[in-house]
This record gives sequence, C-alpha cells and structure tokens, in this order.
Amino acid sequence: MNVLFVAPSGARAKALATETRRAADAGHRVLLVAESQAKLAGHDLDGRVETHWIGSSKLSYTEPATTRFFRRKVPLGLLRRVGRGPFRKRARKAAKNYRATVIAGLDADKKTRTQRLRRDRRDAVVREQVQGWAPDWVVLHEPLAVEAVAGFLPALIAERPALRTTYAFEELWDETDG
Amino acid sequence: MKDRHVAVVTPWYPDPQVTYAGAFVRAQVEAVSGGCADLEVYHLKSWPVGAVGEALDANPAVLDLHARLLARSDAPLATAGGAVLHRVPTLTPRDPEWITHSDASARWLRTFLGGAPLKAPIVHAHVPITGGWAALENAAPGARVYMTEHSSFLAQLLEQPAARARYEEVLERADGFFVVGEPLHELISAEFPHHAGKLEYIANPIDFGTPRESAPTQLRRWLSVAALNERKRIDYLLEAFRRCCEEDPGLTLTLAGDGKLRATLEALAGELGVADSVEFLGSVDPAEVPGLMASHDLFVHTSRHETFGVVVVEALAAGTPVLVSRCGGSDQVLRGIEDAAGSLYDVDDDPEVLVNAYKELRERYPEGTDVAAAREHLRAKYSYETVAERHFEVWDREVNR
Repeated sequence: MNVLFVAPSGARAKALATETRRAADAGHRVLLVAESQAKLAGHDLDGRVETHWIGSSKLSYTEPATTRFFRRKVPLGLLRRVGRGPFRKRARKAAKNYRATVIAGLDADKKTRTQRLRRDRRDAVVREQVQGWAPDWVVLHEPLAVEAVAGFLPALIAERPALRTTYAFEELWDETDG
Repeated sequence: MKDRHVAVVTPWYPDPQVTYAGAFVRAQVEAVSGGCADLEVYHLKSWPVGAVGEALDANPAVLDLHARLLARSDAPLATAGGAVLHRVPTLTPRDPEWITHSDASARWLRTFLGGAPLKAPIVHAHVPITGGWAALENAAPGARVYMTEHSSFLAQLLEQPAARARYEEVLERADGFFVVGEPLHELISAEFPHHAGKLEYIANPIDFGTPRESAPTQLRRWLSVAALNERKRIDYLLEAFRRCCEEDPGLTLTLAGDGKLRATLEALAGELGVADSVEFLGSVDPAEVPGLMASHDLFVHTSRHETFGVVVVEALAAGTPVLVSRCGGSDQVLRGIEDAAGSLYDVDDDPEVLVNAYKELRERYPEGTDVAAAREHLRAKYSYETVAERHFEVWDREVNR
C-alpha cells in the first residue's frame, strides 16, 4: 500500500520517526509530507521513507514599497527631524505613539498575511501530495494535518471511499491477541 | 470472576511520541486485564486547533471533517495485557478553560462511538474533569462509572467557576470516586465537604518483578527521575549535589527526564562546576526505569508537590534506597517505613536541608535502613496483584450486593 503521513508541523517528530519506520517495516511504500527536515532533527528517519518538504516557513509577506516608505519611513523620519529642534519631547512622544499604533498595526497585518501565505502554501502542498501521489492510506498525524486537508479530503473520500484514513500507524490489535 | 467487561476512558496514555505520559494508566490496564473478559481503552488525547483564544466552532469545516474521520478512522490497537486501545484525537480550542476541554472530551467520544453508548457495563475513567465527564456522558444506561483523580493541577482547575461546577456534578454522578493520595483527598474534601464521604483511595500499580541483584554498598551514584520543570526543583538538587561533591568528588548524578528547563539546568550544572559528574538522559521509556533504578545507589526526589509519588515506589520496588522531599504523596507512601526506606526531608529552599539529610542517611546506611523490609511493605500495597484486587473489589460491589 501507499501510506502517506501528513504532518505539516512535524510537532510529533519522535512518533513520526517510529511510525513511518513501522509502516515501511510492514512493507508499505511510505511518503511523509512535513514542514522541513530541520523539524525532525534528532529523530532518525528511516531511509526507506520518501519525503516532501513543505518549506512554508521560508515565506514571508513583503510589504509594498509605498507602504514601507510613506507609512514607516517618512513619518518617523519627519518626527526624528522635528525632534532635533525645540519640540524634542513632543516629537519623541509622537513617535512613540506612532510606533504603538500605526507601526504595530502594520506589523500585525504583516504577520497575519505571512501566516496566511504559509497556510496557503501548506494546504496547497498537502493537497498536491494527497491527490497526486494516490495514497491508499492517509495518516493525519497531528492536529494541523486535519486543518490542512479540511478543504479537499471530504470530496476525495466521496470519490474514493476505500481510501483509508487514520490518526496514527501503531501496532494493530488482532482478535487473536485478546 | 472473569466476566467483567470494562471500558477505560483516559486523557493520558503512552503513545510513540510521549512514552511515559499516563504510564500509570497503562499499568492499571495491565494489572486488571487478567480479570476482565474484555477491556477497551479510549485515549482522549487533546489535539489543540485554531488560533489562540479562538472558539472551537470557529472553523466548522475542520470539525465536520474530524467528525467524519473519527467515524471511519478507528484502528483498534494492541496494548498492555491484550487489551484494545482506541486513540480518539480530541480537538480542543487553544484556551486554558477546563470546561471547554471537558465538553470537547465528551463530544468527541460520542462522535467516535457514532452516538451509541459505551458497551461496557463498567467504565473506569481517569481525570474526572475530562475523562470522567466523557465517561458519564457516554456510558450506557445502568452502567457503573468509576473514576480516579491523579491531577496535580486540580487546585488551579477549581479556581475556574464553570469547571468547578462541572467537577461537582461529576463528583455527584460518579458511582465511585477515587484519589491516588492524601493531597488530593484533602483538597477535594476541603472544596466539597459534602462529598468527602464519597472519596476513596486507589493506588497506581507498581511493578515489583525486577529487584536489583544486590544492595548498593555506598550511596554515591544518585538518580533523579523527574520532568525538568519548576515543580521538581532540579536546580535545588544540583546545588545540593554540588555541596556534597565538595566532600566527595566521586559522586555522580543521573537526571532522567526532560522538560523546558533542560537547557537552563545544563547551563547551571556547568556554572556550578559539576557538569562532568551530572548526566542528562532526557526522557526515558517507562520500561527502562526499573533498570535505571537498579543501576544507581540512591534515588533522590526533590519535588515541591506530588499527588502520589510513583517513582518513589518504583525505586524501592527495585531495592534502591530513597532520599525524598515531604511533597505530599511521598509522605503517605513512606509512612511508617521512612527510616527503613531511606530518608524524608522537608521541602525548603535551603539546599543544606537536602545535604544534611544525605549525610545523615549516608552515616546510617546500610545498618540503619532496611530497604528489603520497606520493599515488602510497599509490595503489599502497590503491587499489580494488590491494585488489581482493589479494582475488582470496587467493580464487583454492585454485583455482590
């Protein structure tokens, strides 16, 4: 079987290394989709496990040059210049206020847009792998995995009802065990 | 009486990521499985989703998908004693309100079961606010629901009004309510005096099967098995260890356990000049603990507060003497055998308290101790067989009435 592990953050790295190895030992072809190799540092990933790194953390939103110039540089530059004159205290206070309101707002917006960019990349890569690699079994290994597949997995399950989905790849209970 | 059909509902259970989390629940499962016709464990592991502070219902598509997946993703797993384990990822919001975690536990177990109740007529839950509530809300009519409280965070939980009201309801509805040690008994009795009569003790089972071959001759190889967090006071241990090393540079200290303070504590060991004598093992598998206990001379525990003190019993089960802080659970465990087992010392910020306790114990060891007798005393209370019998006695009460 083709077993696809979806672990966007790789937050459960130790379990990921254990469970992907277990899947490979069971004779499955295993693909892991996770953020980056660095996230799994310190946990030996079995050589048989194929990997696809999302790499979304490299992405960050770039502010338009006009915003950077007219809303960050110019106002603070002006206040700096004014602060060299007799209105030093007032200019310093105004700059402090400006940073706390406008600049903080711009930073928050930048952060939100960066998160959105990264989430979109994550969801797109996961979708591409789940749809393109034709897995027989999808292991949603962490909470973020459920969030990442929410947009397309229901339709895929409707199309391929035999697609197996689980939250882990551990030793299955056999009725003869009991 | 082997026809017991039992379901265990728990938010804590070992998994490949954290092999020690809830190891005592797995020990309970292993202990009682031989007396059950079938035993199914439902592990309601918290899976936080969404942004911090966002309501769980903020992303309906995620919830809908999870509900669909739970219904089709059950892969019964093998666990201790031939029992069956179901992992039930429990989506929770990223908030500190216990009431939302309590609601989520009941909700996702219901979804996992497809709306049907748990089949077992006996349900034993761990952690009443989450596992207990989920068990009560999903037990079959007429099923008996018991629960065990282990939580070290209970006092903080009861400061939240909604969680407190929920806890009281759980206390009322449970057919049996157990605590693992005196600190929890005292806390719950004080908070809900009208339910104090309902509280009973039940211990965590400990493996007494692998004692060390011979007693240590000197108390020079110290061992701590504890998470590296503030409550365990490993910084205090390091300072006391340094002072003891001044007198005996041959001492060693092994720290088994991990946590967010690890880097800080490693740096501290360096600053104190004992880095060469201190080994940080990181987290260890529960199966490795008896061997670790047996390969050291002295188990040292510095915790500020414990609800039970599993590791103290594990040390003595291995035949290793102990030097333990009076942190609540450990006091109860060692009552009447303090001197035989080793030494108890007061929780105090002055490392000299631990240093003096060590020197006093070193002076009278081995003649002034009787670790073998302490071990037998504890075996009678905490062995798998004893704890299993206690569970059976509780579970069979209604039948025998």
